[in-house]
Amino acid sequence: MRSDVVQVLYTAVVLGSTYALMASGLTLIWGGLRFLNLAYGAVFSVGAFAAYWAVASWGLPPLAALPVGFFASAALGAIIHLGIFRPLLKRPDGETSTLVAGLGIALFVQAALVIRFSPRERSLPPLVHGSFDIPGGVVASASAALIVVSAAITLTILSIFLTRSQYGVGIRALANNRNGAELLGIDTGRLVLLVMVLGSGLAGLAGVLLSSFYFVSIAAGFTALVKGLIVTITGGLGNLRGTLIAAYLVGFVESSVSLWLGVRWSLPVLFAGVLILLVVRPRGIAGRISFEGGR
Amino acid sequence: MSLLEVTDLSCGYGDTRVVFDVSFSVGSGDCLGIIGPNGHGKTTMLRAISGLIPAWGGSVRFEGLEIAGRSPHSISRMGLAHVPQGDMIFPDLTVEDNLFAALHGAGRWGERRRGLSEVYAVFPRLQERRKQLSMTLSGGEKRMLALGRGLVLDAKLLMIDEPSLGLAPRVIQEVYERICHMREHGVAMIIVDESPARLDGVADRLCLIDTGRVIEAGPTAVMLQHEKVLETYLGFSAAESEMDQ
Repeated sequence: MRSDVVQVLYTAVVLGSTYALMASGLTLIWGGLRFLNLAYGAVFSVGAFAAYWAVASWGLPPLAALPVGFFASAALGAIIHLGIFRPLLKRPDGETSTLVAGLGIALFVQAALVIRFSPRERSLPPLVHGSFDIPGGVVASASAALIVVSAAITLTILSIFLTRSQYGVGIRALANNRNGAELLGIDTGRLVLLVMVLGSGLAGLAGVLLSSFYFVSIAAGFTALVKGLIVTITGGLGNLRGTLIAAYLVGFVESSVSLWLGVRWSLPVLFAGVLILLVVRPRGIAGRISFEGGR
Repeated sequence: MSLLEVTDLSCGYGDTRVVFDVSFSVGSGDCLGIIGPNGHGKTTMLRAISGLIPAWGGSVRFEGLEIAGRSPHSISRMGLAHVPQGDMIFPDLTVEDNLFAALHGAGRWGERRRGLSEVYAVFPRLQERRKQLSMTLSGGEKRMLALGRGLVLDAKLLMIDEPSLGLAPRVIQEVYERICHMREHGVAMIIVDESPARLDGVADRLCLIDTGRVIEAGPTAVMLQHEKVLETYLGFSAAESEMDQ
Protein backbone atom coordinates (compact mmCIF):
# COMPACT_ATOMS: atom_id res chain seq x y z
CA MET A 1 0.00 0.00 0.00
CA ARG A 2 2.77 2.39 0.91
CA SER A 3 4.53 1.72 -2.34
CA ASP A 4 1.18 2.30 -4.10
CA VAL A 5 1.02 5.78 -2.65
CA VAL A 6 4.60 6.52 -3.60
CA GLN A 7 3.96 5.20 -7.12
CA VAL A 8 0.88 7.40 -7.50
CA LEU A 9 2.72 10.47 -6.22
CA TYR A 10 5.71 9.76 -8.44
CA THR A 11 3.50 9.40 -11.53
CA ALA A 12 1.51 12.46 -10.49
CA VAL A 13 4.64 14.60 -10.27
CA VAL A 14 5.98 13.38 -13.63
CA LEU A 15 2.60 13.81 -15.37
CA GLY A 16 2.05 17.14 -13.66
CA SER A 17 5.42 18.41 -14.88
CA THR A 18 4.55 17.13 -18.35
CA TYR A 19 1.31 19.10 -18.33
CA ALA A 20 2.96 22.16 -16.87
CA LEU A 21 5.42 22.09 -19.79
CA MET A 22 2.60 21.55 -22.30
CA ALA A 23 0.70 24.50 -20.84
CA SER A 24 3.65 26.88 -20.44
CA GLY A 25 3.41 28.46 -23.88
CA LEU A 26 -0.36 28.34 -23.94
CA THR A 27 -0.69 30.12 -20.62
CA LEU A 28 1.40 32.92 -22.09
CA ILE A 29 -0.54 33.19 -25.36
CA TRP A 30 -4.07 32.35 -24.29
CA GLY A 31 -3.86 33.41 -20.68
CA GLY A 32 -1.82 36.50 -21.36
CA LEU A 33 -3.35 37.78 -24.57
CA ARG A 34 -6.74 36.08 -24.33
CA PHE A 35 -5.97 34.83 -27.78
CA LEU A 36 -6.86 31.18 -28.33
CA ASN A 37 -4.30 29.79 -30.72
CA LEU A 38 -5.55 26.40 -31.93
CA ALA A 39 -2.36 25.93 -33.95
CA TYR A 40 -0.51 25.54 -30.64
CA GLY A 41 -0.47 21.74 -30.82
CA ALA A 42 0.93 21.81 -34.35
CA VAL A 43 3.69 24.16 -33.26
CA PHE A 44 4.47 21.73 -30.42
CA SER A 45 4.76 18.82 -32.91
CA VAL A 46 6.96 20.80 -35.28
CA GLY A 47 9.43 21.44 -32.45
CA ALA A 48 9.56 17.74 -31.67
CA PHE A 49 9.95 16.68 -35.31
CA ALA A 50 12.55 19.34 -36.04
CA ALA A 51 14.59 18.05 -33.12
CA TYR A 52 14.13 14.44 -34.21
CA TRP A 53 15.19 15.32 -37.75
CA ALA A 54 18.24 17.29 -36.59
CA VAL A 55 19.41 14.49 -34.32
CA ALA A 56 18.70 11.69 -36.82
CA SER A 57 20.13 13.32 -39.94
CA TRP A 58 22.89 15.58 -38.62
CA GLY A 59 23.87 13.40 -35.71
CA LEU A 60 23.57 16.26 -33.25
CA PRO A 61 23.97 15.31 -29.58
CA PRO A 62 20.51 14.84 -28.03
CA LEU A 63 20.83 17.88 -25.73
CA ALA A 64 21.34 20.10 -28.78
CA ALA A 65 17.83 19.06 -29.78
CA LEU A 66 16.44 21.43 -27.14
CA PRO A 67 17.50 24.70 -28.82
CA VAL A 68 16.62 23.26 -32.24
CA GLY A 69 13.07 22.54 -31.08
CA PHE A 70 12.76 25.93 -29.40
CA PHE A 71 13.92 27.94 -32.42
CA ALA A 72 12.05 25.87 -35.02
CA SER A 73 8.77 26.36 -33.17
CA ALA A 74 9.49 30.01 -32.40
CA ALA A 75 10.15 30.66 -36.09
CA LEU A 76 6.95 28.87 -37.08
CA GLY A 77 5.06 30.90 -34.47
CA ALA A 78 6.43 34.13 -35.94
CA ILE A 79 5.49 33.10 -39.49
CA ILE A 80 1.96 32.09 -38.45
CA HIS A 81 1.44 35.29 -36.51
CA LEU A 82 2.81 37.71 -39.10
CA GLY A 83 1.40 35.86 -42.09
CA ILE A 84 -2.02 34.83 -40.85
CA PHE A 85 -3.16 35.97 -37.42
CA ARG A 86 -2.05 39.59 -37.56
CA PRO A 87 -3.75 40.38 -40.88
CA LEU A 88 -6.90 38.60 -39.67
CA LEU A 89 -6.98 40.43 -36.35
CA LYS A 90 -6.99 43.78 -38.15
CA ARG A 91 -10.39 43.00 -39.61
CA PRO A 92 -13.63 43.52 -37.77
CA ASP A 93 -14.63 40.31 -35.99
CA GLY A 94 -11.17 38.96 -36.79
CA GLU A 95 -11.00 36.92 -33.61
CA THR A 96 -13.49 34.34 -34.85
CA SER A 97 -11.53 34.03 -38.08
CA THR A 98 -8.35 33.32 -36.13
CA LEU A 99 -10.05 30.38 -34.39
CA VAL A 100 -10.87 28.78 -37.74
CA ALA A 101 -7.49 29.74 -39.17
CA GLY A 102 -5.73 28.17 -36.16
CA LEU A 103 -7.60 24.93 -36.70
CA GLY A 104 -6.75 25.06 -40.40
CA ILE A 105 -3.06 25.56 -39.68
CA ALA A 106 -3.13 22.64 -37.23
CA LEU A 107 -4.64 20.30 -39.85
CA PHE A 108 -2.26 21.54 -42.54
CA VAL A 109 0.85 21.09 -40.39
CA GLN A 110 -0.31 17.69 -39.22
CA ALA A 111 -0.84 16.52 -42.80
CA ALA A 112 2.53 17.95 -43.85
CA LEU A 113 4.25 16.08 -41.01
CA VAL A 114 2.54 12.81 -42.00
CA ILE A 115 3.68 13.25 -45.60
CA ARG A 116 7.24 14.10 -44.65
CA PHE A 117 7.78 11.71 -41.73
CA SER A 118 5.00 9.05 -42.13
CA PRO A 119 2.51 8.47 -39.32
CA ARG A 120 4.83 6.01 -37.57
CA GLU A 121 5.87 6.95 -34.03
CA ARG A 122 9.54 7.79 -33.68
CA SER A 123 11.71 7.97 -30.67
CA LEU A 124 14.18 10.64 -29.81
CA PRO A 125 17.24 9.27 -28.01
CA PRO A 126 16.93 9.98 -24.30
CA LEU A 127 18.51 13.29 -23.34
CA VAL A 128 19.91 11.79 -20.13
CA HIS A 129 20.54 8.20 -19.05
CA GLY A 130 20.24 6.17 -15.88
CA SER A 131 17.83 5.72 -13.03
CA PHE A 132 17.77 5.97 -9.26
CA ASP A 133 15.75 4.56 -6.39
CA ILE A 134 13.39 6.66 -4.39
CA PRO A 135 12.10 5.50 -0.98
CA GLY A 136 9.06 3.25 -1.24
CA GLY A 137 10.52 0.84 -3.76
CA VAL A 138 9.94 3.00 -6.84
CA VAL A 139 12.61 3.38 -9.49
CA ALA A 140 12.77 6.81 -11.06
CA SER A 141 14.35 7.32 -14.44
CA ALA A 142 16.72 10.17 -15.09
CA SER A 143 14.55 11.20 -18.07
CA ALA A 144 11.57 11.62 -15.77
CA ALA A 145 13.69 13.64 -13.37
CA LEU A 146 14.74 15.85 -16.28
CA ILE A 147 11.08 16.54 -17.11
CA VAL A 148 10.40 17.53 -13.51
CA VAL A 149 13.46 19.74 -13.26
CA SER A 150 12.91 21.41 -16.62
CA ALA A 151 9.26 22.13 -15.80
CA ALA A 152 10.37 23.81 -12.59
CA ILE A 153 13.10 25.82 -14.36
CA THR A 154 10.91 26.83 -17.33
CA LEU A 155 8.02 28.06 -15.21
CA THR A 156 10.29 29.85 -12.76
CA ILE A 157 12.03 31.71 -15.59
CA LEU A 158 8.68 32.50 -17.21
CA SER A 159 7.32 33.83 -13.95
CA ILE A 160 10.38 36.03 -13.31
CA PHE A 161 10.22 37.27 -16.91
CA LEU A 162 6.57 38.27 -16.54
CA THR A 163 6.83 39.92 -13.15
CA ARG A 164 10.26 41.54 -13.18
CA SER A 165 11.33 42.35 -16.72
CA GLN A 166 10.23 45.42 -18.62
CA TYR A 167 8.76 43.26 -21.38
CA GLY A 168 6.86 41.19 -18.84
CA VAL A 169 5.34 44.33 -17.34
CA GLY A 170 4.45 45.52 -20.83
CA ILE A 171 2.83 42.19 -21.71
CA ARG A 172 0.71 42.17 -18.56
CA ALA A 173 -0.25 45.79 -19.19
CA LEU A 174 -1.39 45.11 -22.74
CA ALA A 175 -3.31 42.04 -21.57
CA ASN A 176 -5.25 44.31 -19.18
CA ASN A 177 -5.94 47.17 -21.52
CA ARG A 178 -4.40 47.39 -24.94
CA ASN A 179 -5.32 51.03 -25.64
CA GLY A 180 -4.12 52.01 -22.18
CA ALA A 181 -0.76 50.40 -22.96
CA GLU A 182 -0.52 52.13 -26.34
CA LEU A 183 -1.15 55.51 -24.71
CA LEU A 184 1.83 54.87 -22.44
CA GLY A 185 4.05 54.47 -25.48
CA ILE A 186 4.09 50.67 -25.45
CA ASP A 187 4.37 49.16 -28.93
CA THR A 188 1.71 46.52 -28.35
CA GLY A 189 1.97 45.01 -31.84
CA ARG A 190 5.61 44.18 -31.22
CA LEU A 191 4.88 42.77 -27.76
CA VAL A 192 2.12 40.53 -29.12
CA LEU A 193 4.62 39.19 -31.65
CA LEU A 194 7.10 38.60 -28.82
CA VAL A 195 4.46 36.65 -26.89
CA MET A 196 3.60 34.52 -29.93
CA VAL A 197 7.27 33.77 -30.60
CA LEU A 198 8.10 32.99 -26.96
CA GLY A 199 4.94 30.95 -26.43
CA SER A 200 5.61 28.95 -29.60
CA GLY A 201 9.23 28.46 -28.59
CA LEU A 202 8.11 27.11 -25.22
CA ALA A 203 5.74 24.74 -27.02
CA GLY A 204 8.67 23.49 -29.10
CA LEU A 205 10.86 23.06 -26.04
CA ALA A 206 8.11 21.08 -24.35
CA GLY A 207 7.71 19.06 -27.55
CA VAL A 208 11.36 18.01 -27.50
CA LEU A 209 11.48 17.26 -23.77
CA LEU A 210 8.33 15.17 -23.83
CA SER A 211 9.23 13.34 -27.04
CA SER A 212 12.44 12.14 -25.50
CA PHE A 213 10.36 10.73 -22.65
CA TYR A 214 7.35 9.46 -24.60
CA PHE A 215 7.37 9.32 -28.40
CA VAL A 216 7.68 11.69 -31.31
CA SER A 217 4.20 11.33 -32.72
CA ILE A 218 1.75 13.33 -34.79
CA ALA A 219 -0.94 12.88 -32.13
CA ALA A 220 1.22 14.30 -29.35
CA GLY A 221 0.53 17.84 -30.53
CA PHE A 222 -3.19 17.33 -30.15
CA THR A 223 -2.73 15.95 -26.64
CA ALA A 224 -0.57 18.94 -25.79
CA LEU A 225 -3.27 21.33 -27.00
CA VAL A 226 -6.08 19.59 -25.11
CA LYS A 227 -4.15 19.06 -21.88
CA GLY A 228 -2.74 22.56 -22.16
CA LEU A 229 -6.24 23.99 -22.51
CA ILE A 230 -7.54 21.98 -19.55
CA VAL A 231 -4.67 22.98 -17.30
CA THR A 232 -4.72 26.63 -18.35
CA ILE A 233 -8.44 27.08 -17.89
CA THR A 234 -8.62 25.03 -14.68
CA GLY A 235 -5.78 27.01 -13.19
CA GLY A 236 -7.39 30.32 -14.02
CA LEU A 237 -6.51 31.99 -17.29
CA GLY A 238 -3.20 33.76 -17.29
CA ASN A 239 -2.28 32.85 -13.75
CA LEU A 240 1.01 30.98 -13.62
CA ARG A 241 0.64 29.75 -10.07
CA GLY A 242 -2.87 28.48 -10.81
CA THR A 243 -1.60 26.78 -13.96
CA LEU A 244 1.08 25.01 -11.99
CA ILE A 245 -1.33 23.84 -9.29
CA ALA A 246 -3.79 22.67 -11.95
CA ALA A 247 -1.08 20.75 -13.81
CA TYR A 248 -0.12 18.74 -10.74
CA LEU A 249 -3.73 18.27 -9.69
CA VAL A 250 -4.60 16.86 -13.12
CA GLY A 251 -1.50 14.64 -12.93
CA PHE A 252 -2.56 13.40 -9.50
CA VAL A 253 -6.14 12.67 -10.55
CA GLU A 254 -4.96 10.73 -13.58
CA SER A 255 -2.35 8.69 -11.76
CA SER A 256 -4.50 7.84 -8.74
CA VAL A 257 -7.57 6.97 -10.81
CA SER A 258 -5.47 4.80 -13.15
CA LEU A 259 -4.04 2.87 -10.25
CA TRP A 260 -7.14 2.40 -8.13
CA LEU A 261 -9.99 2.37 -10.67
CA GLY A 262 -8.15 1.41 -13.83
CA VAL A 263 -6.68 3.41 -16.68
CA ARG A 264 -9.94 3.61 -18.63
CA TRP A 265 -11.48 5.70 -15.83
CA SER A 266 -8.75 8.29 -15.69
CA LEU A 267 -10.01 10.61 -18.45
CA PRO A 268 -13.74 10.42 -17.58
CA VAL A 269 -13.04 11.18 -13.93
CA LEU A 270 -10.68 13.99 -14.93
CA PHE A 271 -13.15 15.65 -17.28
CA ALA A 272 -15.99 15.29 -14.77
CA GLY A 273 -13.77 16.88 -12.13
CA VAL A 274 -12.85 19.77 -14.41
CA LEU A 275 -16.51 20.36 -15.31
CA ILE A 276 -17.55 20.42 -11.66
CA LEU A 277 -14.69 22.75 -10.76
CA LEU A 278 -15.62 25.16 -13.52
CA VAL A 279 -19.28 25.18 -12.47
CA VAL A 280 -18.30 25.92 -8.88
CA ARG A 281 -15.42 28.28 -9.70
CA PRO A 282 -15.88 29.57 -13.25
CA ARG A 283 -12.62 31.48 -13.08
CA GLY A 284 -10.54 28.47 -12.16
CA ILE A 285 -8.44 27.59 -9.15
CA ALA A 286 -6.58 30.87 -8.86
CA GLY A 287 -9.76 32.84 -9.53
CA ARG A 288 -8.27 35.05 -12.15
CA ILE A 289 -9.80 38.46 -12.14
CA SER A 290 -11.33 39.54 -15.41
CA PHE A 291 -9.44 41.55 -17.94
CA GLU A 292 -10.79 44.95 -18.68
CA GLY A 293 -11.80 45.22 -22.32
CA GLY A 294 -9.06 46.66 -24.49
CA ARG A 295 -11.35 49.08 -26.25
CA MET B 1 5.68 77.81 -33.48
CA SER B 2 3.14 76.31 -31.17
CA LEU B 3 3.66 72.92 -29.57
CA LEU B 4 0.41 71.48 -30.85
CA GLU B 5 -1.41 72.86 -33.86
CA VAL B 6 -4.79 71.32 -34.67
CA THR B 7 -6.29 72.52 -37.96
CA ASP B 8 -9.77 71.67 -39.26
CA LEU B 9 -9.78 68.32 -37.46
CA SER B 10 -12.84 66.17 -38.01
CA CYS B 11 -13.50 62.64 -36.79
CA GLY B 12 -16.23 60.35 -35.53
CA TYR B 13 -17.40 56.78 -35.09
CA GLY B 14 -18.82 54.55 -37.82
CA ASP B 15 -20.80 56.83 -40.13
CA THR B 16 -21.42 59.46 -37.49
CA ARG B 17 -19.31 62.59 -37.56
CA VAL B 18 -18.79 63.90 -34.05
CA VAL B 19 -16.11 66.56 -34.46
CA PHE B 20 -16.41 69.18 -37.23
CA ASP B 21 -13.38 71.14 -38.48
CA VAL B 22 -11.99 71.98 -35.07
CA SER B 23 -8.90 74.20 -34.89
CA PHE B 24 -6.86 75.32 -31.89
CA SER B 25 -3.27 75.46 -30.74
CA VAL B 26 -1.26 75.10 -27.55
CA GLY B 27 2.14 76.66 -26.90
CA SER B 28 4.91 75.15 -24.77
CA GLY B 29 4.16 75.39 -21.07
CA ASP B 30 0.60 76.58 -21.73
CA CYS B 31 -2.54 75.10 -20.26
CA LEU B 32 -5.62 75.02 -22.45
CA GLY B 33 -8.97 74.13 -20.92
CA ILE B 34 -11.54 72.56 -23.21
CA ILE B 35 -15.07 73.00 -21.94
CA GLY B 36 -18.52 72.18 -23.21
CA PRO B 37 -21.50 69.98 -22.43
CA ASN B 38 -21.14 66.21 -22.22
CA GLY B 39 -21.49 64.23 -25.43
CA HIS B 40 -20.34 67.02 -27.72
CA GLY B 41 -17.09 65.55 -29.02
CA LYS B 42 -14.43 66.62 -26.53
CA THR B 43 -13.31 63.09 -25.70
CA THR B 44 -13.58 61.98 -29.33
CA MET B 45 -11.33 64.85 -30.35
CA LEU B 46 -8.64 63.89 -27.82
CA ARG B 47 -8.84 60.27 -29.01
CA ALA B 48 -8.22 61.39 -32.57
CA ILE B 49 -5.25 63.56 -31.52
CA SER B 50 -3.60 60.72 -29.61
CA GLY B 51 -4.23 58.26 -32.46
CA LEU B 52 -6.73 55.96 -30.74
CA ILE B 53 -9.20 56.65 -33.56
CA PRO B 54 -8.38 57.83 -37.07
CA ALA B 55 -8.76 61.49 -38.02
CA TRP B 56 -11.16 61.88 -40.96
CA GLY B 57 -9.76 65.17 -42.11
CA GLY B 58 -7.61 68.13 -41.15
CA SER B 59 -4.18 68.09 -39.66
CA VAL B 60 -2.61 67.58 -36.25
CA ARG B 61 0.93 68.92 -35.93
CA PHE B 62 3.07 68.32 -32.88
CA GLU B 63 6.32 70.29 -32.77
CA GLY B 64 5.80 70.94 -36.45
CA LEU B 65 5.43 67.26 -37.42
CA GLU B 66 2.20 65.84 -38.81
CA ILE B 67 1.05 63.12 -36.41
CA ALA B 68 -2.40 62.28 -37.79
CA GLY B 69 -2.29 58.62 -38.87
CA ARG B 70 0.52 57.60 -36.53
CA SER B 71 0.02 54.87 -33.94
CA PRO B 72 -0.82 55.89 -30.37
CA HIS B 73 2.45 54.54 -28.97
CA SER B 74 4.60 56.50 -31.37
CA ILE B 75 2.65 59.70 -30.63
CA SER B 76 3.06 59.07 -26.91
CA ARG B 77 6.78 58.52 -27.39
CA MET B 78 7.07 61.86 -29.21
CA GLY B 79 6.02 63.55 -25.98
CA LEU B 80 2.27 63.96 -26.45
CA ALA B 81 0.63 61.96 -23.67
CA HIS B 82 -3.06 61.29 -23.11
CA VAL B 83 -4.59 60.52 -19.71
CA PRO B 84 -7.84 59.07 -21.03
CA GLN B 85 -11.35 59.19 -19.71
CA GLY B 86 -11.92 56.18 -17.48
CA ASP B 87 -8.20 56.13 -16.61
CA MET B 88 -7.41 52.85 -18.47
CA ILE B 89 -5.27 51.67 -15.58
CA PHE B 90 -4.21 48.01 -15.46
CA PRO B 91 -6.37 46.50 -12.69
CA ASP B 92 -4.38 43.26 -12.25
CA LEU B 93 -1.08 45.12 -11.88
CA THR B 94 0.18 46.73 -8.72
CA VAL B 95 0.37 50.51 -8.51
CA GLU B 96 4.11 50.30 -8.99
CA ASP B 97 3.84 48.02 -12.03
CA ASN B 98 1.36 50.46 -13.58
CA LEU B 99 4.02 53.15 -13.29
CA PHE B 100 6.75 50.77 -14.50
CA ALA B 101 4.64 50.05 -17.58
CA ALA B 102 4.71 53.76 -18.40
CA LEU B 103 8.48 53.87 -17.91
CA HIS B 104 8.88 50.87 -20.23
CA GLY B 105 6.72 52.65 -22.81
CA ALA B 106 8.72 55.84 -22.50
CA GLY B 107 11.97 53.90 -22.95
CA ARG B 108 13.13 54.92 -19.46
CA TRP B 109 13.26 51.49 -17.81
CA GLY B 110 16.88 52.09 -16.79
CA GLU B 111 15.96 55.06 -14.62
CA ARG B 112 12.80 53.56 -13.15
CA ARG B 113 13.69 54.14 -9.51
CA ARG B 114 14.19 57.86 -10.11
CA GLY B 115 11.04 58.00 -12.24
CA LEU B 116 9.00 56.56 -9.40
CA SER B 117 10.38 58.96 -6.81
CA GLU B 118 9.32 61.91 -9.02
CA VAL B 119 5.77 60.57 -9.11
CA TYR B 120 5.69 59.78 -5.40
CA ALA B 121 6.81 63.32 -4.62
CA VAL B 122 3.64 64.62 -6.30
CA PHE B 123 1.36 61.72 -5.27
CA PRO B 124 2.45 60.48 -1.82
CA ARG B 125 -0.71 58.35 -1.63
CA LEU B 126 0.52 56.22 -4.51
CA GLN B 127 3.70 55.47 -2.59
CA GLU B 128 1.67 54.23 0.39
CA ARG B 129 -0.29 51.97 -1.96
CA ARG B 130 2.54 50.96 -4.26
CA LYS B 131 2.33 47.20 -3.62
CA GLN B 132 -1.47 47.05 -3.88
CA LEU B 133 -3.25 45.78 -6.97
CA SER B 134 -4.58 48.89 -8.65
CA MET B 135 -8.11 47.43 -8.82
CA THR B 136 -8.31 47.87 -5.06
CA LEU B 137 -7.77 51.63 -5.24
CA SER B 138 -10.55 54.14 -4.66
CA GLY B 139 -11.82 56.20 -7.59
CA GLY B 140 -9.73 59.18 -6.57
CA GLU B 141 -6.61 57.05 -6.17
CA LYS B 142 -7.15 55.47 -9.59
CA ARG B 143 -7.35 58.96 -11.10
CA MET B 144 -4.10 59.89 -9.35
CA LEU B 145 -2.48 56.73 -10.66
CA ALA B 146 -3.57 57.63 -14.20
CA LEU B 147 -2.16 61.13 -13.72
CA GLY B 148 1.00 59.69 -12.18
CA ARG B 149 1.50 57.51 -15.25
CA GLY B 150 1.08 60.61 -17.39
CA LEU B 151 3.68 62.42 -15.30
CA VAL B 152 6.16 59.54 -15.48
CA LEU B 153 6.04 59.68 -19.29
CA ASP B 154 7.85 63.02 -19.01
CA ALA B 155 5.71 64.38 -21.84
CA LYS B 156 5.92 67.86 -23.34
CA LEU B 157 2.14 68.02 -23.58
CA LEU B 158 -0.29 66.15 -21.41
CA MET B 159 -3.94 65.83 -22.42
CA ILE B 160 -6.12 65.06 -19.40
CA ASP B 161 -9.68 63.99 -20.11
CA GLU B 162 -12.24 64.83 -17.39
CA PRO B 163 -10.01 64.62 -14.31
CA SER B 164 -13.06 65.23 -12.13
CA LEU B 165 -15.32 62.56 -13.64
CA GLY B 166 -17.12 60.45 -11.05
CA LEU B 167 -15.29 61.90 -8.05
CA ALA B 168 -16.60 63.52 -4.87
CA PRO B 169 -16.12 67.32 -4.68
CA ARG B 170 -13.42 67.10 -2.01
CA VAL B 171 -11.47 64.59 -4.11
CA ILE B 172 -11.90 66.72 -7.24
CA GLN B 173 -10.28 69.60 -5.40
CA GLU B 174 -7.37 67.38 -4.42
CA VAL B 175 -6.95 66.08 -7.98
CA TYR B 176 -6.79 69.64 -9.30
CA GLU B 177 -4.23 70.55 -6.63
CA ARG B 178 -2.09 67.67 -7.88
CA ILE B 179 -2.56 68.81 -11.48
CA CYS B 180 -1.33 72.29 -10.55
CA HIS B 181 1.61 70.60 -8.83
CA MET B 182 2.34 68.69 -12.07
CA ARG B 183 2.31 71.94 -14.04
CA GLU B 184 5.23 73.11 -11.94
CA HIS B 185 7.28 70.52 -13.84
CA GLY B 186 6.77 72.75 -16.88
CA VAL B 187 4.57 70.39 -18.85
CA ALA B 188 2.01 71.96 -21.19
CA MET B 189 -1.54 70.69 -20.73
CA ILE B 190 -4.90 70.31 -22.33
CA ILE B 191 -7.56 69.67 -19.71
CA VAL B 192 -11.06 68.68 -20.70
CA ASP B 193 -13.71 69.42 -18.12
CA GLU B 194 -17.41 69.88 -18.39
CA SER B 195 -17.27 72.69 -15.86
CA PRO B 196 -15.42 75.96 -16.70
CA ALA B 197 -15.38 76.99 -13.03
CA ARG B 198 -13.05 74.14 -12.11
CA LEU B 199 -10.50 75.33 -14.67
CA ASP B 200 -10.43 78.83 -13.18
CA GLY B 201 -6.89 79.40 -11.95
CA VAL B 202 -5.63 76.25 -13.73
CA ALA B 203 -6.03 76.94 -17.45
CA ASP B 204 -4.59 80.01 -19.20
CA ARG B 205 -7.11 79.82 -21.99
CA LEU B 206 -10.47 78.17 -22.47
CA CYS B 207 -12.01 76.76 -25.61
CA LEU B 208 -15.77 76.13 -25.69
CA ILE B 209 -16.89 73.19 -27.78
CA ASP B 210 -20.53 72.52 -28.59
CA THR B 211 -21.98 70.00 -31.07
CA GLY B 212 -18.46 69.16 -32.21
CA ARG B 213 -17.48 72.73 -33.14
CA VAL B 214 -15.34 75.38 -31.51
CA ILE B 215 -17.84 78.05 -30.47
CA GLU B 216 -15.50 80.47 -28.75
CA ALA B 217 -11.95 80.59 -27.38
CA GLY B 218 -10.05 83.08 -25.29
CA PRO B 219 -8.26 83.83 -22.01
CA THR B 220 -9.87 82.08 -19.04
CA ALA B 221 -10.92 85.25 -17.23
CA VAL B 222 -12.67 86.60 -20.34
CA MET B 223 -14.27 83.28 -21.21
CA LEU B 224 -15.73 82.77 -17.74
CA GLN B 225 -17.81 85.94 -18.25
CA HIS B 226 -18.46 85.33 -21.94
CA GLU B 227 -22.07 85.44 -23.09
CA LYS B 228 -21.74 82.18 -25.09
CA VAL B 229 -20.33 80.32 -22.10
CA LEU B 230 -23.03 81.62 -19.81
CA GLU B 231 -25.60 80.68 -22.41
CA THR B 232 -24.26 77.14 -22.73
CA TYR B 233 -24.04 76.56 -19.00
CA LEU B 234 -27.08 78.41 -17.76
CA GLY B 235 -29.06 76.77 -20.54
CA PHE B 236 -30.65 79.94 -21.93
CA SER B 237 -29.76 83.29 -23.39
CA ALA B 238 -31.17 86.58 -22.23
CA ALA B 239 -33.47 86.68 -25.27
CA GLU B 240 -34.78 83.13 -24.76
CA SER B 241 -35.49 83.71 -21.11
CA GLU B 242 -37.71 86.62 -22.03
CA MET B 243 -39.59 84.45 -24.51
CA ASP B 244 -40.14 81.83 -21.82
CA GLN B 245 -41.91 84.32 -19.60
